[in-house]
Amino acid sequence: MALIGANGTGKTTILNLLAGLIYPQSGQIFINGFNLHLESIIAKQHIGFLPDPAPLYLELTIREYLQLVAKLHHIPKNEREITIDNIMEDLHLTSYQHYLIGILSKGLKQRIGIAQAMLHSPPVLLLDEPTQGLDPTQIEAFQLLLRERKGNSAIILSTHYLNEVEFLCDHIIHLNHQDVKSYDINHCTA
Amino acid sequence: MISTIAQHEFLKLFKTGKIWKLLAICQFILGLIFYWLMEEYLFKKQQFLLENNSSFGITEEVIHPLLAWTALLFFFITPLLATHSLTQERKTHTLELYLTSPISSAEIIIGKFIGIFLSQIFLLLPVFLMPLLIALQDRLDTGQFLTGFFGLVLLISTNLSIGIFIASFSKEPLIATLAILVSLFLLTLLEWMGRFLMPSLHWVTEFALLYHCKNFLSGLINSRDIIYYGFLSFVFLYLSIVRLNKESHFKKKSWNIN
Repeated sequence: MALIGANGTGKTTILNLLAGLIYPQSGQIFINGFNLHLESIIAKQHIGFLPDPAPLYLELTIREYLQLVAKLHHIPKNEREITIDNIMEDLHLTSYQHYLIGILSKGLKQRIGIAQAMLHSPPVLLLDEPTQGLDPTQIEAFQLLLRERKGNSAIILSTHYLNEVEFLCDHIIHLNHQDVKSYDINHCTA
Repeated sequence: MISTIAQHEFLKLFKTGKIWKLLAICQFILGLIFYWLMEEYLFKKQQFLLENNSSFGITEEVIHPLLAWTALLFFFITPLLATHSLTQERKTHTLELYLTSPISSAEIIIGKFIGIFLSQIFLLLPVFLMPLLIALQDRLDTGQFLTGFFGLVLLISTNLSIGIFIASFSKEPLIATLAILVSLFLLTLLEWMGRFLMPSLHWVTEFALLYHCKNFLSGLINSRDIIYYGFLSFVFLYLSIVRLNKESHFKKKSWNIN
């Protein structure tokens, strides 16, 4: 599902609400059947979130950072290193794994942010402008990776790129300052 | 999970180099104070020896004031480290990693508290070296020194929990550091206020931070002092957990979901 709309219409706010960073004034949010605020720990096990900017510790290497994320998401010890190796390979980070995050380019940092969101293979993946800062080759590789994961995860992303929406999404929510419109991409054109 | 967060906090301070800079500053200042105290002690001792008075203790004259100076120095160090734990993370958006992970606010706060507390103990350890130097040459009251050190550890843990609580409110490291510093000094000034400014309110001295450290520095372990520090640490850590739990409620934007 894609959230599209001009700046300031609330795309990031919706993603923050779904990630549990903002509390709704009324109503409830359920992630895979778990109330995000009453059963937050269980609900958050089902979420992978890439905020903008990505939450990176610049003083750690990529591997150290992903090890920390793996621990925070309770990935069993015996699976941790394999999981990290796989996601680094998927996002072409393996050759940089011992580099400090602080010295890497913006595109690489964004890929590390994507890696931390996808590391524990969450059923719900929330991505706030995921392709921002990536070059065309990296965007293509990332979109293919997301397409692969589409069957296993519900992906909600905010973006400004309509070609990305067309390539990845089945549903679109268009936000503007007056109202919210929802489209099924298979039955209409954006 | 607490150990993961504590380990991360502890190592982060080393990797950013912050702890090494603080260690250097700390040792420089304490080294100067120790030198000054020793010089004064040796001068006094010469005079006492001339007067044939042998009841002159190095622990009381050097170690006791050294630990008191250390306590004062940590009033400046604790705000810097406490700010590093939450305010800095909020500013760099790394706190979001914790807040969107399947871990409780209690685990985050306690993990951060333990990590920073251990780093402060690391900063304190070289203080041991100075009494060790004395012990090689003179008779040192080990009991009084260790009791004083224990009091210092309790004071630091209380300061840190207050610091973490205040840091949990702010997004600006400088403002948070100043707010913690002012709060700690106000809590210390209660003793002075109770004694001199408002003698009718003498009971407020009981709430002063350093007031309860004095017994420890003199070599006395009083359960009332332990309870005071333990209670304050617990209360402020609990309040920090509540504050972090409500983090999402305090965000500027909030939406209706129906």
